[in-house]
Amino acid sequence: MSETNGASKEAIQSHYDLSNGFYELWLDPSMTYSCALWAEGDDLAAAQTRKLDWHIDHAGAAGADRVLDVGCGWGSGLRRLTERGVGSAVGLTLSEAQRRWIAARDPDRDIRLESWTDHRPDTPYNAILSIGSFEHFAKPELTERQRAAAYRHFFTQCWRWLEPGGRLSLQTIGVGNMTSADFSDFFATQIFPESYLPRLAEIAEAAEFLFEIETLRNDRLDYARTLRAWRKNLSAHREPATALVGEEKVARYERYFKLAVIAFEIYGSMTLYRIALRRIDQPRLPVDP
Amino acid sequence: MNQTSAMTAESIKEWVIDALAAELDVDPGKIDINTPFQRFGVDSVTAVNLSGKLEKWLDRDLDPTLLFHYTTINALGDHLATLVSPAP
Repeated sequence: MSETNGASKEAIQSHYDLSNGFYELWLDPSMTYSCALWAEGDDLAAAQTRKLDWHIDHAGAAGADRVLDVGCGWGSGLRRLTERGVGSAVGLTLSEAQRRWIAARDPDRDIRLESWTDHRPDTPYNAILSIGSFEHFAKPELTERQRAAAYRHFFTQCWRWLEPGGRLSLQTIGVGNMTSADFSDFFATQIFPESYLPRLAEIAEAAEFLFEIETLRNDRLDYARTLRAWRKNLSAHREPATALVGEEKVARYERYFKLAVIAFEIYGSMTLYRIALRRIDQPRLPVDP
Repeated sequence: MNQTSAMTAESIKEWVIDALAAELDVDPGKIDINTPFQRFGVDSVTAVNLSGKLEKWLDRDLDPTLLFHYTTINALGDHLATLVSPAP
């Protein structure tokens, strides 16, 4: 099993390496590029911190020695883990621009340009976070069976990397009120190439006998609110954004935000799952080699 | 119609009739202002296209879900008129 089952480094970089400066114009200052967790009175930055804390709390990661962040983006989860007393926080990303951005601000950060499929830690982790990267773990052209195997491989690796009693907190967009075939060409080719949105049942099945699900939330309306906040920021910085990436790309992102708001809020065709999973230390069935 | 007011509900509705007809490639005469957008086959792509054109015309950002909350040209025109006109 290798990264060929998931989005390639090239596909990831086509999206995330567009321009750090472009993302800085419309993400919150922590550069968190995934659905926030909103509460009354929150601005985007507060809602993103609330989201990171939800995952840190549900993974039991606060104050832990070693925590892994699979798909660490621009490092907001790693920085929050440190603020929450974690000794060693390791981040994986396939985006060179993200790695450079983090290294320029925080040279001592343990961040690796590496697919999770190639990750071989020396010592186990106490907790694992994976926020907004599961979408990239299976390419759309995989058969249902291959996809199941790719997801199973992810949970198996997490199971191996975690110490007994350890937890994984996962956040991913999922397929809700639509068939996978309905996933628009626009999203599939223009926004997130080589990515696939899982059904909840696929996630649950892939984790069986490895992890038990402790908490599950579908916060799709939180994603609509996050997208509106990003759109407002981009709209307010349209001129510098256009100077950085060109008119066509700015228009493409504005279109992505608008279509996604409708998908999350009106149709429920896309869902947003936050799933806290606890490692099953004595699995009833043998764990795959 | 008040000639000094650039955007009345009526002028907005007329504009939307033409824009929707162009978007759906149908005769504007076939567009009834009380028929729900959904009945015309308006989906998320059509809704975003139409609200995008409205944004350019009205020179303001609009929520992408607008056509799902104001579900006919009549309702949409009345709503937009209150947005673009100063309160009495």
